[in-house]
Amino acid sequence: MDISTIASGVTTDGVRYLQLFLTEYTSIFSETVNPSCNKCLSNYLSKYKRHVMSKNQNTSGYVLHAKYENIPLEFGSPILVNNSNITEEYAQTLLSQDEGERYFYSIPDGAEAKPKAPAKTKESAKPKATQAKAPKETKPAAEKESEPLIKAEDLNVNDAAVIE
Amino acid sequence: MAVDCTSGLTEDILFDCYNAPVGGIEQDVVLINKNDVDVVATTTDANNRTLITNLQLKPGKTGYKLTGVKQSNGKAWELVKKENAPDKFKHTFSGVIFNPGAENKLQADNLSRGGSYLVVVEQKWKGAGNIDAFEVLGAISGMELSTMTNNSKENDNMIMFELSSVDGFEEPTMPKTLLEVSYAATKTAFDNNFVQAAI
Repeated sequence: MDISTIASGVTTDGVRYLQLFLTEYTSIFSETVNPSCNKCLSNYLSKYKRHVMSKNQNTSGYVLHAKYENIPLEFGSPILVNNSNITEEYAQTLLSQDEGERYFYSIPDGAEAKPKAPAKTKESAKPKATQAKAPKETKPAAEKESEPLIKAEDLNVNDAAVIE
Repeated sequence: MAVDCTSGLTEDILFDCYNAPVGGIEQDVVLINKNDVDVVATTTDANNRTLITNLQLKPGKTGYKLTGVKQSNGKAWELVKKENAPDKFKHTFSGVIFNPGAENKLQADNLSRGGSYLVVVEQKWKGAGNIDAFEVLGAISGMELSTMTNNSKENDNMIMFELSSVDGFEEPTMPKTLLEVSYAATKTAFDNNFVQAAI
């Protein structure tokens, strides 16, 4: 929920989200708040989110890349996996997918992906060119890929570093 | 050994009857500051230069959503013929800012400050297994603001703008397809604005 929704929304009982949010906020942080200051409200929300995230920090040791948070557990699954709800079981399911390791920022030492299940869904359909076997080591996804985005041939120069 | 880059066709160009063409893009797009793209970590497929296999931003950076309605946002590209060099492609993204409020105007004004941008769009046509759903415009050279207009008597007072490749600095390929493993993973990254956590 963003700050504009909180500032303007009401519950089905007619109670303003803002009132509920500030009550919750002040009960946690015990500080004076200014409901008429939009920038302050944004800061309160950010602080509150950080607080909630830290409370929900997962203990599984698996951490997803930020951009893959809320990824479906598998094709058609209603379960969206993120760094708050990830478990060993969820992590193994993701790891068993094609190139599943690239979703992870970190994997606990000693954790291993189980053998990959045979692909049966359309989701696994990919151009042949991308069907490279996932390497074992856990690195940011990009490090496992084949070529940098900008190549010399794209730029018609002999030295790609020139554009950097 | 010298490499000849003027390669010709290498495969048939076929019509997939089960995935007939469909016009349009989905209503929301992601705008990315070109400076925020990690060009080293962002990768293209080894065998297909029009396929990005990982679009990665620098640590702590994110893309920004431009929410639309129906076909308010759109993309286009065209060949730019070069006399004595490989041909290039001009990419164009046309967007609409619905609410001309101060916050949105600040972002519109930021667009006009000379920055360069990438745009990620999700096409209505997604191809077999949805693997061709996403396209990246301006992936190499980036696009700049080329027009921005507002008229209280037209278009319901909305702010209309276009980002496009700069003449003489066009893209070496047509908009690249983006596929990060699967549609689901790419869609997740798109929905998260390709955010990259700060280290």
